[in-house]
Amino acid sequence: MTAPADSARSRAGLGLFASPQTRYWLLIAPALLLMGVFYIYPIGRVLWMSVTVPAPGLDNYELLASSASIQRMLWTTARISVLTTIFTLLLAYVVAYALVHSSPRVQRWMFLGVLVPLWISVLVRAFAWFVLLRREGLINSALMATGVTDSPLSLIWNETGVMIGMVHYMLPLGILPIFSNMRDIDQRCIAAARGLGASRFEAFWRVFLPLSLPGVVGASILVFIFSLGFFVTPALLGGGKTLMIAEYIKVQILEVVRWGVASMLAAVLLIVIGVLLAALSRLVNLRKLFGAG
Amino acid sequence: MTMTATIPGHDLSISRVSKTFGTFKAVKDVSLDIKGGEFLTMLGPSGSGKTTLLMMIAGFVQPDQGSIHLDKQPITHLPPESRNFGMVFQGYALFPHLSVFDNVAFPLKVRRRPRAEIEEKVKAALELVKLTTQSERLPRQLSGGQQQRVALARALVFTPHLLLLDEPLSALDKKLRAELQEELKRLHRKVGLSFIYVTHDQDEALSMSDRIVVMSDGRLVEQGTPSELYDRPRTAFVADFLGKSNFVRGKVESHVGDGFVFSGDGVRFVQKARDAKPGIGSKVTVALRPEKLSIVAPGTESDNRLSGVVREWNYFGSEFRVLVDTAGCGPISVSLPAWTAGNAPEVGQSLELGWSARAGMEVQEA
Repeated sequence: MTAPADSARSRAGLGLFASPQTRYWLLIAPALLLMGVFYIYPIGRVLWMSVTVPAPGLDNYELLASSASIQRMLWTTARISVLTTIFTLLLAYVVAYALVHSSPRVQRWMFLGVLVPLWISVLVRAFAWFVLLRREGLINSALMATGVTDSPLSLIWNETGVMIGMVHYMLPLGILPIFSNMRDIDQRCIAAARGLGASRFEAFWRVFLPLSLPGVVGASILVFIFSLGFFVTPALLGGGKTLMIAEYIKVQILEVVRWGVASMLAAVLLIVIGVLLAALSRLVNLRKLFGAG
Repeated sequence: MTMTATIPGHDLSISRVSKTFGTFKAVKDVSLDIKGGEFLTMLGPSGSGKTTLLMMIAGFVQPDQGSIHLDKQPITHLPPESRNFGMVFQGYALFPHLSVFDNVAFPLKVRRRPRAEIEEKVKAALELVKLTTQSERLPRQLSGGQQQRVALARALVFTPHLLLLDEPLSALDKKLRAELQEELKRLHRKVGLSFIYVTHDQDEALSMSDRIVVMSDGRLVEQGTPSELYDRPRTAFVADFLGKSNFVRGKVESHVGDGFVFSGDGVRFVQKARDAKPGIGSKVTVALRPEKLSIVAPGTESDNRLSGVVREWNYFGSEFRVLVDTAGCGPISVSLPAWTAGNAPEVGQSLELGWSARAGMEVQEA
């Protein structure tokens, strides 16, 4: 910046905005303020409560080692999240593969099918599953009418139901990163593999699959993180028997009023997700995964 | 080492193949025989069907009609992996997640060759393309020319029946391209395989091929050795696509010696006949290479003369290219060797062009 331009600016009374940095800070100040007051501060309070309520110290965290019910709940949460992630990825990979290999017209319709569920409230979807999965529901009556089973399967109020609902919810989150990665794979590489003597399967196994792995890794951590803190679907389809961490926290706050335990668990969730994201950022480009790249 | 030993070439025979994509007829009734060990170039502008024809040979595209035979065995409907053809793709299509070594080893690995044999053959193939020090690198860490060499090594390592190359040099700069043309020729002599080379670059076609097949609009227009096609093209299309040509058109007036006299817009020319002399009164088109024309001084002897005015000229170091507006024949382009031409011609200058009766080439209009 040249000196004459500087002096011209101060003559016009704009000295306050002289440095570009100052200007940018001013522009993002409202957003920062909002985040600080309604997001950062409450989170800070929660973290603080986890070591101060009911008494200062690490008593709440000690429960992780001593409370059987908390350990059981954590184990359930981890198990359901891992299984949900595995099933979601298997299905998402197949859908993304079909998406990439279909004509633009078919692709548009398939995309609609993938995205529409995203726009429907998770509550509505959970109730829709309830209608389908309950003992007298559509699926059980169909299975019994065709003689596949004699007695209704218990598809709801248990982990099976929770997982069906969660996989359904997570599918778009799995499909989109895998699809965006697959779309970037050079189709000529697959043709080259065939031309060099690889069968269809071998071209997939040795070339396509390895090239699509970054998308799979990204999608898996995304889905896993969402699964860990999932609330509505487990609460509705689990019928209170399958307790995951988010619902457990709710119960601690609203029903048994143990804020210290609740905030400790919230802190644990936050830390686990932070660690996972840090690990993810070493494997894949996070900015690209979340659409900023 | 086996790579350098001469591999017996295989004959490929393409008979009457056609391919339509939707409403677009990409290849129309093309027949072509390729002898073992031949360097054949398929030359044509984009959309001429040359790449589709190559893809049919490779097995990626199924012809709607016609058949393809390798050494008398039908292969028309064989999948690409069963044909044992090496292929170098446009843009190389190297596997980005595999090292140079693993890229080259790929065809051997899918053939389940023993480890020791893979090591040995990959090493030999990389030596063949003069790339021995980079084998642990990933493709993106290599220059364009090096990637090209890896693609070649990968296509040759499994001693294929023949090698297909789809515009392999189009992504490289001019100097590197010339260098790799030389190397491809050397490689061709060394491995003794048939090379089928697709390009839209006429210089590449002229400098490398044993035989050139010129395609246009899905058809095979003409084929021959580079000098046959350059010196004695049969069609106006080839005369203009392979090098540049001027065209002089007219009607035959009389026969003289081994040629004929024809006139266009009142100017008379003498032209040697290609085969039989065309009938009196028939229309003829004669292609004239710019370098076969010269500027003649008034009064000197020349079979043909045409006067005109210089419209523009360009200097190319080795030559001047002069565009002359002529009376009767429109703009004619002449190339003059710069070191004998002396001074550059001046724009607006009047001059006379001359050429021998044997310089022109009677061609058919498309």
